[in-house]
Amino acid sequence: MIERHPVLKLLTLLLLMLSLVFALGPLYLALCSASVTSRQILLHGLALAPGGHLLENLAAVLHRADIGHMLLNSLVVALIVVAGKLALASTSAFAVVYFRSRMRHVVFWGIFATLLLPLEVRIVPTYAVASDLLEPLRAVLAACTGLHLRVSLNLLDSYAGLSLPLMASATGTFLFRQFYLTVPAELAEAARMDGAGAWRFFVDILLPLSKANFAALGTIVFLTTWKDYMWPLVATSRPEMRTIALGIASFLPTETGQPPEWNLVMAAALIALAPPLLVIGLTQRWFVRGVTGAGK
Amino acid sequence: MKTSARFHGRWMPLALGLPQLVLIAWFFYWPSWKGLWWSLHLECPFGHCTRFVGLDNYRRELGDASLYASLLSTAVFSLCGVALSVAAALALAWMVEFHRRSGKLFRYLLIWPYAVAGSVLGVILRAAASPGIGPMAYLNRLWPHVWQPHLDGAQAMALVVAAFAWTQIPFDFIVLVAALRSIPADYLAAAAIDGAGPLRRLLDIQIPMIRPQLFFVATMNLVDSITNSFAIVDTMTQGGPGGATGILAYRAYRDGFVGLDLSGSSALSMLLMLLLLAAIAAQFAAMERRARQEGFR
Amino acid sequence: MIGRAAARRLACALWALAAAAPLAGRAAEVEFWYAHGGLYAQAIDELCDGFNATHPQDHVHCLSQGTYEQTLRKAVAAYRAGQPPALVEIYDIGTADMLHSEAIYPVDALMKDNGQAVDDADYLDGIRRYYAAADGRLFSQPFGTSTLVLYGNRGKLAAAGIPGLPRTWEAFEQALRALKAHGESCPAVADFTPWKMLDQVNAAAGAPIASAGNGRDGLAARYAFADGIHRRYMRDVARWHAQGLLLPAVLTHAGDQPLAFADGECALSLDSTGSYAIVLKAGIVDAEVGPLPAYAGAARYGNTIGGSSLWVFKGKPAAVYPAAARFLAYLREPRQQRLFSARTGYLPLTREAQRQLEASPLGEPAAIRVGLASMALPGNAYSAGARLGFMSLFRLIWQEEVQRALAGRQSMDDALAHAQARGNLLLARFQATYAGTARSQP
Repeated sequence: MIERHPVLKLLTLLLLMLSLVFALGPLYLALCSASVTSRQILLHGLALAPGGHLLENLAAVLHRADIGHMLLNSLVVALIVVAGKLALASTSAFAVVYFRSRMRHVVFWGIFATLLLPLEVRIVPTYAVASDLLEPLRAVLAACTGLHLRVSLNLLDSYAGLSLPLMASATGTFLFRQFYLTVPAELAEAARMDGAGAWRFFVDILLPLSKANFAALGTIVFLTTWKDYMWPLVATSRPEMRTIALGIASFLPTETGQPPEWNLVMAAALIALAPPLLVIGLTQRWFVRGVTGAGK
Repeated sequence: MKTSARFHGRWMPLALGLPQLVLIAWFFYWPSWKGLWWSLHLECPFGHCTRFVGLDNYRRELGDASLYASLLSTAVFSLCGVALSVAAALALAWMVEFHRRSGKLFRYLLIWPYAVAGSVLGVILRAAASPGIGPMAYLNRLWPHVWQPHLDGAQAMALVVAAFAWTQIPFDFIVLVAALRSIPADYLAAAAIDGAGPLRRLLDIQIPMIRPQLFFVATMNLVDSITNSFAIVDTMTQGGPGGATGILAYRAYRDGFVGLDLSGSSALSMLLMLLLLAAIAAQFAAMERRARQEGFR
Repeated sequence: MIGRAAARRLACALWALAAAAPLAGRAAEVEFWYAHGGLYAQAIDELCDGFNATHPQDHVHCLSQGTYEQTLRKAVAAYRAGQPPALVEIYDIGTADMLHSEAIYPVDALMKDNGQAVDDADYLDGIRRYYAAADGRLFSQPFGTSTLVLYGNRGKLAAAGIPGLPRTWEAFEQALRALKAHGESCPAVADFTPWKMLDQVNAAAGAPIASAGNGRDGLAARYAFADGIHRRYMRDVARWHAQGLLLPAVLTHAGDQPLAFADGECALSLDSTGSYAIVLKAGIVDAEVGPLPAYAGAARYGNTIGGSSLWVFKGKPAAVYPAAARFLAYLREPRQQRLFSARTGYLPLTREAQRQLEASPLGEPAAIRVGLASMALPGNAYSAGARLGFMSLFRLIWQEEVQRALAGRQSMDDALAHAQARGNLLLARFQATYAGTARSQP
């Protein structure tokens, strides 16, 4: 803006600095604990100042677990979920916002309901479906026609099993719906006047406008999938399908009385932090570029 | 704001939404249906005995006095958690936008907390808030017994609310920054030329224009606080002290995941779902009424 | 885009199927799910590597599945989906669930069917008492085991003029007062867990936790601890807590009971035998280890145990079971028990392993010696420990009520009465849940 507000500028800058302390303080504590020896933690509790053993601990973590493979698994799963969710969310939200048909309500509420019950409380039946993808089909078929199918498809310990249930949520659809609602109605009106069909409008006008939202949702989905713990824990039993969030947890003591290795836990956490930070850095530029010219 | 123009076509919306709906039917509706089924039965964990008991599970849960204490803590936790998260995220997003140049760095760093894995977070936050070590222990040395979340329920609640907000703010922040970014720059420039200061512009232009996204983050926070916040409670307080932070989601998780009580936990989940449905319906209704009023204006 | 994603998903699914196929083909592949992370997981992996190296015809896949709760949860889900592992490690309080599951192949039968001679009498008394069914059979093989002992910081006790570790609760209180008077900020530390304060204290006193032989005689058992020795002990605990003699672990620098003793902050600690490993690792405290105290004049019975045992799921291909039996027999070898004990601090399980450990050049670590001696004391019907349904939930309830009492929001007597009443609702439901099954107790 053109005008100057020196006092406001200074005040908000101070507030931003303060919030950085709160936001990054815990990360600083993790870094401190990752850079001391486990004996130091035994003696003094979690470290409050950095030590000189960071590289040692990182090396120990890499030596102890197949971190590279876990990072790869996390990356593959996160990318599948991001791609799938962005595609499904942008199209289904389009259906919900831009059509007159009553079907759009069915679509919206059918999708929206998934917000109501998190994966964690329906974990046993979800596990059953993932272990046998055709179970619902078979059950419905048996109930309706008395036919018994004998095929089954096991998705446990596979990328599909890790990613599909995470895609079945409404977050993305809801975010895109809210964004489409802010898009000026004149745009769609004009497109209709020009004789463009719904799909043309979606591809040529709406998608380019949604860049910032794609970046935002993509970042959010990537990060939530990356650090998701409960579903990978349940859906995998073999080490070669483990994700990095499970890798961190494998360093946690499982019992009181077990000598804890907080230094390794924190070192593993730091390794796991690097790819998401890279992603945030990359999508940042899209945030900025995406919409500066929107609506002109 | 006027509702967007609509295209015709009865089946196209269904076709567009179908992939999402199929996925959801498979991984949401079917498992949820089973949950509903279990809530009407007494079900052994290993599945070899199951007995229809009608609404007994609900009757039992509703007759348990501790459920109402739990409902109250859920309400406190959700309201405080959502309010704190949205308010802080909006303030941060606005301040970052206000500092166009240096804002970039802040915008990058403020998202970092969202990348921290939950299993580590509990360990760190517990240490950071420990009454025996660190900054809070210092307070305790100045004023003995002032910070004791292991005994004082209100303090424990403040702790989990703060932890919840810490995990939610980056999410809200990302969405709100994107929302503020999508407001055409000329609107704000025009207002500035008319002499509206930054705060005026926030109240009169920016907040009204990003209201759908504000509604989005508030709803998502509300949903997360009611259904998904058991992990925070589990790592920070285990519902204590004395059940003070035993929110409903944590109870459903604890009964089902730790206690292998499929029936009771399913009944609790269904109650949770009804509660959430009511909360969201209220939120939607308020939002729609607001939108309609403005439409008439 | 959607099409491509779907194609990829299908490809992944097919790949997963293809990857699973060769595993099913080979005969002696055994999957073993265990419930440990960190250093303990390394010790278990070493045992597995040792087995696989010495038994070329078998291959055991040892897979860590997280904590005890997570492992049990996963085992339940996997069994319901028809894909359980052959072997699974389940914690002590999951024993009732497993016994009633109708999903298991009893270990004693497995061993007999596969020609592995197992002398159940060789198991240490406290361990066999805990896992034995009503007719004395062992349905699972004991694994990681520990019991409760009293740790004292020799230097601090001497400085406060306390001659040795207190053997009675009365002497324990005097010691706390002497330490406090001598200026100790943390005379004793506790994390207020029911395994230490209820299960062990009652077992050592031979007092009931629940009727029907602590639940061992059937599903009709109900809690019965709220007015016995447990109330006396918890009243003492509440007083010690209120007077700053017994500190909650969260108030210490370490924030954790074993660490708060190991780093020299607290002078006394009632803790599991496994925690001795932390004391040794930290190497700060000259620790003296003694048995759990008892009230003066009362009979002292054997301690009960905590930890885990290994269960075998039924319904796997026949070729799996001989290999599983060989693996269990291997784990039971005194040599492996000693290796595991040395790496983790868990107790040896059999008399033979104990003898070998005693005879080894370093001898038994102090905590293990004292722990084994406490378990060897004579037992009665109640010192075997409780076997009840929904025990994990009951323990949380107990903690909730006791926390409320410690915060001064109800009396300790009320807390125990509430915990008992709420626990009994759980037991009633457990009974109702299994009422339909033919077998009430194996």
